[in-house]
Amino acid sequence: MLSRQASQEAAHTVNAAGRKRNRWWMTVMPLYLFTIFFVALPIVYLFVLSFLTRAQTWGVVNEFTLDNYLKILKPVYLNTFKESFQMAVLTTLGTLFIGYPFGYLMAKLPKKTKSLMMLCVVIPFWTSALMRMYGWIILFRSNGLLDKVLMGIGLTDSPLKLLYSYPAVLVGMVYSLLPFMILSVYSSTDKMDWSLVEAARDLGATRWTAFFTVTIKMTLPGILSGIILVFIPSMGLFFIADILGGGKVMLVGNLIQNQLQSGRDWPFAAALSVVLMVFTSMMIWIYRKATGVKDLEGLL
Amino acid sequence: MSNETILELKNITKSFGDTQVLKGISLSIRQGEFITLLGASGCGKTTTLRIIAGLETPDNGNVYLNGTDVTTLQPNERNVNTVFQNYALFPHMNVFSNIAYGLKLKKVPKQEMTHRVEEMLELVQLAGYGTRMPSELSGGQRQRVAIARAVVNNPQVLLLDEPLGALDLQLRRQMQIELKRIQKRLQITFIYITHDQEEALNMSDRIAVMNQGTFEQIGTPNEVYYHPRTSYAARFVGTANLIPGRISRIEGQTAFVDVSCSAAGPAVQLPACITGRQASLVRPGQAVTVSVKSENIRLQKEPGSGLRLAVIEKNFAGGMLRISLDGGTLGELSASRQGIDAAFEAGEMVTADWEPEHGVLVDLEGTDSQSRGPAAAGREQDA
Amino acid sequence: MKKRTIRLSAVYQALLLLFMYLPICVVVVYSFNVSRNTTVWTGWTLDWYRKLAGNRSLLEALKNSLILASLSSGAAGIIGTLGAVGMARIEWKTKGAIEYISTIPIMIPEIILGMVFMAFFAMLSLPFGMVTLVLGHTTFCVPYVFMMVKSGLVGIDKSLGEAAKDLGASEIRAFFDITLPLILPAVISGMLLAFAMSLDDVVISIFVTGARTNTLPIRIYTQLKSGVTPEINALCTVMLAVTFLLVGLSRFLGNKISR
Repeated sequence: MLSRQASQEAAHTVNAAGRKRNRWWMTVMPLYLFTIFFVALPIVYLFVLSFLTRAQTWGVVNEFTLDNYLKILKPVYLNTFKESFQMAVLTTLGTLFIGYPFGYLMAKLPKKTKSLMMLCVVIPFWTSALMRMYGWIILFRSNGLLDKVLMGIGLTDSPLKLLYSYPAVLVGMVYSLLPFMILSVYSSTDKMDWSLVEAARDLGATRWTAFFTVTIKMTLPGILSGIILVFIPSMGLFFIADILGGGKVMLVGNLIQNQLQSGRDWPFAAALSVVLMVFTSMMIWIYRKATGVKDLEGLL
Repeated sequence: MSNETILELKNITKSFGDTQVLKGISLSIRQGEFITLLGASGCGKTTTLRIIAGLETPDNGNVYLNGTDVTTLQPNERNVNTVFQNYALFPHMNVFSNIAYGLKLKKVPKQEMTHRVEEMLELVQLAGYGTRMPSELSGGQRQRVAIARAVVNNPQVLLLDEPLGALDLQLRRQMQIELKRIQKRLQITFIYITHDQEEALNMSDRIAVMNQGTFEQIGTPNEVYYHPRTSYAARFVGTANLIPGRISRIEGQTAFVDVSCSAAGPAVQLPACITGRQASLVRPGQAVTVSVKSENIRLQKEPGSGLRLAVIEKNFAGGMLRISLDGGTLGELSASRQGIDAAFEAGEMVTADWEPEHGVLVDLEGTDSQSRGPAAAGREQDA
Repeated sequence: MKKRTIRLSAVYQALLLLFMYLPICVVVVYSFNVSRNTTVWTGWTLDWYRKLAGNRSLLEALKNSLILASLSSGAAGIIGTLGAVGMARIEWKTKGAIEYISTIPIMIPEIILGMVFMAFFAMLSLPFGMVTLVLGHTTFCVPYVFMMVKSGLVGIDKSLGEAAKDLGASEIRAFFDITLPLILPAVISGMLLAFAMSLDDVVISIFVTGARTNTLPIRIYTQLKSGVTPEINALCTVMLAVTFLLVGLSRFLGNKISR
């Protein structure tokens, strides 16, 4: 009887100590507070804003409306979405076809060359995006470097006027986002079990059949992650379209920027952002469902 | 070794989620003792150790260190040190700093600290290795550093969690001897965890055989080996044959057990000894299990008073010849002999029996932690 | 057959590297051009670097950018590191949700983030300028540090902390003596990445900056739209050198982590 009481008392003290022990909650507080106040709350406000009415002159009026969303359905704006989507698809395909073989071959390099090559891919990624766009301006400019070279070797006889055109924007997009695709493909190829390919070859598959039946499937997570990492930013990179397209190419990003800075229609810009965000979240969600991976491969 | 109790566990229980890992274990350990918790993985031995170290808190029950209740104290508040399974050497500190870490926390003066660390390095035969980084050491050397790092603090109890598990066989044997030497020299109480019966039998003063969160048996290596109290302990330590039968008569210290190898076949009478408190627990007609170690099974070619069995195969391993016998309904029995030469061939019929003192009645009293309360356990160990 | 494949792939890799580095090289080369027009090459000069050194407003923008990047990667270093360390030791139901929300800033198109902050800060009537810039940049810097430290922690044996406590260290002492030194490379390389991202950011900066606070990318952006002088080439070249330094440093630390 006495010992039972004692053990119950002991249990009490144990619980008290157990609660007292974990003080680590204090260290996550900054992250919690910061995330709630400066990420979650602003996003919530974006949703709210997208249902408010635009004021006559400046600012917003607290009146509920669905107009902002209905406005998106206007052909002009729908067309922008279509064009953005097109651009994003072309960009993604471009990076995939150019980047996949590179990432794949990179993983097969000997160890020392591999890390050197890795460095070569990472450096442009770390360099200022604007600087790289500027480089393309110099190259594309009428009578610029590219024209001079092409005319010099006699391929063309007059300037191509590449700058401020759709292809220029596409090249800029592919160029900016290529490292994401390469790194994603690389990281999943690098982890691949090569004996599977050998097994396929052993079972009679040709080099190409083995590649299409085994390698592609094994590196699929990397491909998917690359697609996400390229597709999502390409919907919003307005400054590339701005600089290399010279206002001729209008993407959703440009539309939002215009609404914010010249149109001053914030609620409409908010609605556009919400649609874009829902769309991209859906893509990430599908990616997670499809691969079961939480973090995107090769992001860091 | 004195008779003073240094550490006492009373009725400890611990659950993780829905699984109860410790089912009310009690144990008292004497100052200077080398005690081994022996059991298969998942039996709760590591949890027991972590509770003693303060890395886990038990759901119920208490831990007493030198008579004081330390159940809820943090690991840094009790004078107990641990040698971790994977050594857990700090990779960013050199050997000297690793060993000195505990002393630094206790603010031991620099000169004394250096002196004590050097002394420890000498003790574990690593003099001159102070400036090496852990990554530059071999497995055996890391092991020694881990021991030195714990021992330098003069703990009242040293906990060792399968410290030799990662080493190869030869090194393990060598380290066994060395550990025992260190323990003898420093007179520190060792609580040692292993699943290796050889280690346990070699080094321990006492062995606690653990199974599913309880102690099956606590006793000296001799007791555990020759007088297993349960069939689990019998099977876990050494190679034992567990033979079921029925007691036909009792003569003094010897019980004669009817054993048969087939459902309808005739029973053979084989002996088992009755020890101590078992006398009051056995009576004729009772169903019992007799444990006989494989080296104690006597074999002869001529028919006799034992079990008549066929030899299945012979197997030579580790200096011993193992002879497998077809025991019919008893299952496969095994006998072992020194050396490779044995006159029996596969397929041959042999007669098997054993001396009365080699037959041990098991599973009569339940396990050590079930049968007796903590008070009783304490009393018996004090005696 | 095999040889030809190898040669083909080498040619392809070389071409792609050329594609990646051509624009960068062009900018660097033209920073030494005498003419201010990038369509003609008229000889070598260091004039533009000299002019850059005297260009007050560009240097002011550079200073702002450096301050901004230091403050936001610094803040992210603290928030992200503490968060990652704490998250590994608590079992809260909201843990997963917060972790997910905190990575949103690097998952969605930047323009949305810019829009979100512009609207949000306007609602709070915060004065647009350095404060809003730092707040905005910190949000996308935190995930880089957080993810780096989180993956750095995975490689650390849990029993190391236990061993420290077993040897007499308090929880806090064990953190400073053992965990922190071991995750330090991850912390620094996460902060370097965050620093580079902040230094490079145009999109969010454009939306949350005030009329009087210019960052370097904003200056370059406006000049690219109106008209560029080779001073910008010179500046980009200097920045490139800094980038090389940062990449080198983070690689070095990254190697340390993997070891």
